[in-house]
Amino acid sequence: MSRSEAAGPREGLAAGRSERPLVMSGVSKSFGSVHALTDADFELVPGEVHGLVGGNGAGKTTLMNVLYGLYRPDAGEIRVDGRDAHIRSPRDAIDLGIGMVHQHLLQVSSYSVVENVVVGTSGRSGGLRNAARRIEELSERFGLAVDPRARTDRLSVGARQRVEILKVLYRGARILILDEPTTNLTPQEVDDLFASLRVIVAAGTSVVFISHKVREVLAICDRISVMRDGHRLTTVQRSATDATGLASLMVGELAVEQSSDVAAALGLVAVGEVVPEDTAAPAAAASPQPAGGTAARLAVSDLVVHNDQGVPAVRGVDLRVGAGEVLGVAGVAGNGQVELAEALAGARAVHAGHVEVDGTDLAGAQTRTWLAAGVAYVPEDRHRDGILGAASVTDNLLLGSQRSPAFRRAGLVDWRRVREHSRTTIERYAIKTPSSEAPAGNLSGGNIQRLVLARAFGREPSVLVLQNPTRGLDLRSTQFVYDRVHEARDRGCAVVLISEDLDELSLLADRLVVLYSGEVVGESSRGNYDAYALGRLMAGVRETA
Amino acid sequence: MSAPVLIEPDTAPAAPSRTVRLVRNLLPYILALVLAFVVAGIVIAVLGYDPVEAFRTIFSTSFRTGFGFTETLTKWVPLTLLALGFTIPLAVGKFNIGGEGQLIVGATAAAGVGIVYADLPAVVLMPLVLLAGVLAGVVWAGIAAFLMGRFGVNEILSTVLLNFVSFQVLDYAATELWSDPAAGVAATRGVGEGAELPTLGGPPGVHAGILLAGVVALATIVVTRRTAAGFELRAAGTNPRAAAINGIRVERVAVIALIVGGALGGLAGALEVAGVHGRAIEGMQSNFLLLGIIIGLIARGSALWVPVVAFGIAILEVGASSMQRTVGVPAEMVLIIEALILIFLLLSDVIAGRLARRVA
Repeated sequence: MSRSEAAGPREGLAAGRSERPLVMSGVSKSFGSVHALTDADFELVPGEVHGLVGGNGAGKTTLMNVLYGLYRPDAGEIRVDGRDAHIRSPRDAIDLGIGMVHQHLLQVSSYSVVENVVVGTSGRSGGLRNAARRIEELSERFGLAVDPRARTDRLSVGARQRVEILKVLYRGARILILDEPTTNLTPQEVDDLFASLRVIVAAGTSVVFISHKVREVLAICDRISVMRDGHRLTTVQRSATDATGLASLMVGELAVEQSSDVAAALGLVAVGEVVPEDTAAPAAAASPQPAGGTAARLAVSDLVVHNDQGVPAVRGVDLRVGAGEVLGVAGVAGNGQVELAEALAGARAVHAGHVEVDGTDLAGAQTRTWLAAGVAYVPEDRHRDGILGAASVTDNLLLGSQRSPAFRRAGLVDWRRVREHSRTTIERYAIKTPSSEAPAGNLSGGNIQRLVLARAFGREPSVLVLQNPTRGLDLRSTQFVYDRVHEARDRGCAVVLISEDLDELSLLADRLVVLYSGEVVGESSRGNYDAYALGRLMAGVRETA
Repeated sequence: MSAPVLIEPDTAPAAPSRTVRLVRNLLPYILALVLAFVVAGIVIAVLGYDPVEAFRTIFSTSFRTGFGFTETLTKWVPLTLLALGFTIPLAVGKFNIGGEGQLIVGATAAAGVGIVYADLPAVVLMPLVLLAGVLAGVVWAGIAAFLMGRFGVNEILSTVLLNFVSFQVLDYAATELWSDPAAGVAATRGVGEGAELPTLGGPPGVHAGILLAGVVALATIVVTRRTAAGFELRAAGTNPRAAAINGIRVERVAVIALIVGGALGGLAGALEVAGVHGRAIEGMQSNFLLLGIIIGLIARGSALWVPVVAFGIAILEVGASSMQRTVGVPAEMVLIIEALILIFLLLSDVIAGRLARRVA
């Protein structure tokens, strides 16, 4: 919000150079029978922040991966600075002055910042010390505060992202592609990033800003291209559109106003802006409100959990979640969320403290016992933790219930009943798969999440733990996840939603706690969410007032 | 340096039809077989022998004579058991390279029981002999499994090293404890009559242990495909993290799988004593360990295919010696062929992977 006034038109800057830095036309790319891009075009003018928006599968990331040389297009041409460009690898793209910062940062975590910046650059012109000096210059000039000598794995996600941007600038890029850059940032960090981007484009570099958050796109972009079904639908000037207009261009057939969930998923409504009372009321009224005095279904006390290195990552957390209550856990990635989620799911050893589900202390019990007690878990990394990628959808739906009497006959697994269950589940949860025997790893992210949710709900959970359940999902699948969360809540389930998406949290959670450095540093109840106050807590700034 | 992050397309690709899949699955095997024999044929020709005659001898030995066929079936027993002893732990990503050690201690224990209680009737002695073999294999693999489960000791290392220990165990039994000076080789005395398995069919006939091996192979198929334990074994091997999160105790599954593998090795040793040699002999492990691994890998860990592949390898092994006798080609050539089959098969994986990526 705060920076929208800074985003004026920047036509004046284009005057010096007549060449368009980038023109892509007629780009098509298919993966097997799936047409990811069909006749897509895209162009940049010098010194603009160009928003590239659209749902998942709209092709925005694919288009930019083509530009960066990660995919070879089936057809189409790319002109950089007026010349035909044949980009066969990221190396070619970098040589042409194109840089990309991926959603998932690819860094050597044991390297220092300088080392990460220079790795892959040809030759060692002047060694690391010169490089460090240049990085300092760049970071000062563009407001990307980073210590060049710091070890990368000691940095926050925001700082690591700045390192990636510096790396691109260090290589002299004229085109900077940012893929969903705000996903892991606090509101303050987003503001800083936007300020840096303004300086970067003022120097003549063009920025492609891939996002599905309408609010942020409107705050930073000069022009916005909307992609749908693998091609560019239209490009609009920032000044010529507003949130609702842009959102309806993005989602098309979905009626934006009618679905507040989708609006929130798009970031249309800011945290604390619309959520209080009026919009929240219908959703809240439909659910049995947790009475303050009732016994908590999930009671966590003095929980200490270690990370894989044996260092305490969760340090003395207390939580109480009642039946039919959604507790949101906010925080920047790497502050103990994974460890907390896994501990609450019984998948990681509880070092100290207690986790009681309906009065039974499960600390120290086998994972199987936790599952039997009604704990269900939707992990953050669906591919790594959620499914058996090489195994069939049926196998995946059976996973965890393989010893259940419902699927046993004469001591053997009753595959006929399992397959029957699989077919009905696939239908009920609308899992898009070629067959129930297809490998689960081949499904799209949204369908994998449906599978994971279907399995979790199949156990009729009393406690549901979700971590970043909608990351990387398109709107329809996001809505599906939200609907399931509502359903769990209405069934009287205690829901713990651990997410880095404040919009998502403010939409779903009845109560929010902020996790910082493994501790709960703040709590806020529905209607009192303030994005900046939460952001300060997430960044580790203790409340002074 | 940044590795490409390939974003998956949003729709699932269509599943190919059953026949297409079958052909696609079988094609690498056929190609690997043909290529292996072509290359081996060239080598044989270069060495100055007639490759056609050599191959004809290899394949005809097992089927032309009753003796050859019997020998093939007899070889099939330890090969199948050791291959399964390799593939079962492999399903959870654990490498049991200790098959020969497990076989040797199994044989030693079986021979020991057969010698010490030589006078017991067969009904009592035979089960005891087999049980001793199995238990010895369990203990032997159990050491490695314990070290792995408790201290994270790499099981490849421990199982291989235990092989060397087993040689000494057998050496002690064959030269000190129950040595038979008249045998001419380092071997134990013969076991009692009650510890010798009856012969089926023949003469020459194959020992009854083949039935037991068949039952074990069948049971392995049923357990891995139809039971919850088998499902957990597969799940833990496919994705240990997801399996653990869903309540499977992956470590324990791995420990048990390794111990089961050892039990099969021990059983193989006991059957060699009770069915073939009538005693434990140094060097009786032959190259069963290596062949078992090759079989397991060619079968790609499938319990269904292990017995089939083991039969094919047994044919090659039995044909090898007669090839040496009649054509003069060194018997080791067969090992080269087996290795080539495996290499070409693995190569086909790489090529198929490249092709798949090209299509994508």
